[in-house]
Amino acid sequence: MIYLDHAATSLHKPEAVYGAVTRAMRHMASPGRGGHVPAMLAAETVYACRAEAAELFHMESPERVIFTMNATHALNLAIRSLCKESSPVVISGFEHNAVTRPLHAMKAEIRVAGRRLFDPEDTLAAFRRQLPGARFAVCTAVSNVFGYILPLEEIAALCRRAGVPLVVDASQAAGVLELDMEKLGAAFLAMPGHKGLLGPQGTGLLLCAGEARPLLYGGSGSESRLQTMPEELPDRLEAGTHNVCGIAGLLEGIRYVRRRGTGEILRHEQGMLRRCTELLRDAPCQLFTGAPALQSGVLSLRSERVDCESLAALLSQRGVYARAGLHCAPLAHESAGTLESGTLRLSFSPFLQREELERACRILRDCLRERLRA
Amino acid sequence: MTQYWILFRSLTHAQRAVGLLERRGITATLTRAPKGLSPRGCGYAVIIRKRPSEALRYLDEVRIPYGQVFEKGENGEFREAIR
Repeated sequence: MIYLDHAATSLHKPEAVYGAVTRAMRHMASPGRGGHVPAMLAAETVYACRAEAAELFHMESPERVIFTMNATHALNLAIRSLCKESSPVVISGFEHNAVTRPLHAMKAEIRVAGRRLFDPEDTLAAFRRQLPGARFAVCTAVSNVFGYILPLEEIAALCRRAGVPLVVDASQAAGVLELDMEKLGAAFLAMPGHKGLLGPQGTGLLLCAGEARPLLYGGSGSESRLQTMPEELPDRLEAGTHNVCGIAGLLEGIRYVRRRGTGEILRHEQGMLRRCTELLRDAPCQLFTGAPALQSGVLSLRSERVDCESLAALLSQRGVYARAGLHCAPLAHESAGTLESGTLRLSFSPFLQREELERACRILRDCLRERLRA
Repeated sequence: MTQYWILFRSLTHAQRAVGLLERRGITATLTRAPKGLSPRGCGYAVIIRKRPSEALRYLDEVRIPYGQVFEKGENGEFREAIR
């Protein structure tokens, strides 16, 4: 089995992640729900994960690291905190439905900035044009479909100059790119725990520099006599029992990322991308590639003769797992002109071996050739 | 020996306070606040045994919000400490 769908979910995790999840399930209760040993053990683990995440993303205050179910939950919290009906909102042309659907639900006036793939100048010029008068902006750091690394620092600088709060969707960037919350000056940074941070599914983080409104209301293990949510973070945004097992695993995932370093992880994934591109260069398909520094370990491709879903199914029969379709990002496909065809997306994990990748590319070439002959 | 109980509304703030005080050489222990000391229900306390003024100054400096501070005497009674 060769897993090339890391951009959806990390399948292979550091060994410590599996152990931490099991330990939490056996020995931990719920933080803030009782002062007994299992509750306090859970509290220590959850706090340790907040502190580790705060270090990784250069946030001074761990209490501004909020646990969510996933990046979508985190983005909804951020967007619903900033958005009012008809608010003008600037987004990049490569946003995921996790951004566009909440904005549509809130009837925001969406201004799409920058449609040209792997063209940071176009992206920046469009943000510069669209930002004046906007209530806030949302920008993905990396396109989940094409791996396009957007010029986030420059976009953040434009937002700061225009006085427009920025929400960063770091779904494909967390654990891969160096993200400095203080330098960016973003209002919110949202991410999943189960992709580049190598934690379990059902975990996510929202880093809050701005003021946030709760999405859920309920028990927080604090100020229980009040019938309003507590004012202080993280309690204000974390109603209900935490996913302690998931957070325990996420803590180990983040520790792994910090030990190995995002720079090394990015180099590994970009190395895989380069090798994959070399091996598929003369294959009968269109590869979506940019300048090396502008693309993370994600490669989209399509064939005129074989639809992407059939290609993914053929690969799957031969033990190569990749994702086809629109990847929940129709806007990104529209920007790249692939909305009708979709693409087959190959995405590379920090644990992928060169031999595995080369075998997967041989299988992919065989599949394409067989289909073209048929 | 007198104990100083610093109250917190949020568990996370109390945890952060423990970490920072320990790093400053002030031994601190986290516990649930007794019901009588937390009128809003479900509060937390950080217990220290020495250098209370320094501890509070430091918490102010790093802007960790805390509530009332109590002294717990040998007889087990709490009385609010004057800051």
